[in-house]
Amino acid sequence: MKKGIYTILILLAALADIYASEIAVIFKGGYAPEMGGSMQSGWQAEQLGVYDGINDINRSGSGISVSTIESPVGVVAGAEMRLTGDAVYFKSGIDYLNIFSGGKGSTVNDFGSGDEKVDVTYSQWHLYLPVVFGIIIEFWDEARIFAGGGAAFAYGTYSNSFESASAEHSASFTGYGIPLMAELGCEYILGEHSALCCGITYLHGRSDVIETGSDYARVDFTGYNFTAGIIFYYDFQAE
Amino acid sequence: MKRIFFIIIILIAAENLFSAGGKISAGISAGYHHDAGNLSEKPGINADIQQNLSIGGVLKLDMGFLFFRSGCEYSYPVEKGKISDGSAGNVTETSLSYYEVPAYIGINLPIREIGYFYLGGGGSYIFGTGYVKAETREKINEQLFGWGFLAGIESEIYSRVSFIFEWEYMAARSSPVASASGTYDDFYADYTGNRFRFGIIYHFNRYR
Repeated sequence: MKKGIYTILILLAALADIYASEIAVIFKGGYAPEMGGSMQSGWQAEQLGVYDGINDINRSGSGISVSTIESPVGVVAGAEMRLTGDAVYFKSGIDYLNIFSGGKGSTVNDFGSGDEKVDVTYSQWHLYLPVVFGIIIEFWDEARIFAGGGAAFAYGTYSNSFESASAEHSASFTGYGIPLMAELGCEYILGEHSALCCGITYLHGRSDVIETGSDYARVDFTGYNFTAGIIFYYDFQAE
Repeated sequence: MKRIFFIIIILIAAENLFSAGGKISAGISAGYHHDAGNLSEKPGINADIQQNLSIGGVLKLDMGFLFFRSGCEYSYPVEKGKISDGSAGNVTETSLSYYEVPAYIGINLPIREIGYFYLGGGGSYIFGTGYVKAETREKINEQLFGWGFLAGIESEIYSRVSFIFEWEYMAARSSPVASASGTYDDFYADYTGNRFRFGIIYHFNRYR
């Protein structure tokens, strides 16, 4: 299935190159409202009885003061190159995401000697190389709207740590995957060779199970991200 | 961090509005939030999902190629979340209602003779109410901020009046509000998800 998608995308990319009338370079930054998926791991299931990672980790009660572990928000930076034909485009590049807020706090667990506070930290970074094909519609040399789909090669590391009076555990999982990808965006043309842009990207996919010592987990690349940036382009049919 | 973000976008909005002779619009909207509470995403839970309808006020400032969108919306469950097979422990029913105050800023693309396409980032403040029924009915009283994004179209109906259609995605979860396990409070209200809304807005100073 994935091989088929890549074959189609590469063929479409080749066609885009033949019919391309514009080449563009995009620099963008933004954020991911929620990244890293559930961040589940084997140790959490076995020792904490947590089966959905960060979605299941928050507990309170027993008179122990805890701080909520919030959904991790990621920062995004990327550089991409786009070939555009009459109404189609092919895009590739590199995008990097890293958690900058959330994913930290404390919960409660009983390891056998009564309830105790557990300090929890989740972190993740990943990068992906998109291969996207789509349509782009221009409105009177003023604006453009684009939508596309494809896949990406994604690589990253997910880490967690749990610390309490009687238990301590940390693990790091590095892996890759080929998530599916979709995007929607728009551009406001500033001049002959530049435009402002912003867009929404959605990735869906995760790595295979990765084992680290006695623990195991997946790196989850699923999630939306919102970015804004600037595009520099060269229209070589107009010259 | 969130406060700084809000101050920055309000300053940008104000500066652009007054310097670029922006357009101020306000109106009403109605919307739909599928699977409010995200019960279908919780592993192992077999639930009839909750569905919310919303009604609210819209405020939109157009400042050249930038826009700022705010307002206030009330979302109410027309279909409550129900878990009857015990797959969510003690939790048997969810009824999440909330007030949402969005704050988004982004690019506003004028598409001649059609209207506008706009796409922006930001987030929403959520004032969560309602209840989760476990062993007892636990009332929700939560204040949260969730990051998200907004995409919409605006199309003129008549002179100063336009139709809007929007898609918003926002991620926010509360701290635990009820006990599913019977041992700890471990069931939270999840406001993450997609919202779709349409509305009518009136342009106060369209021809300025």
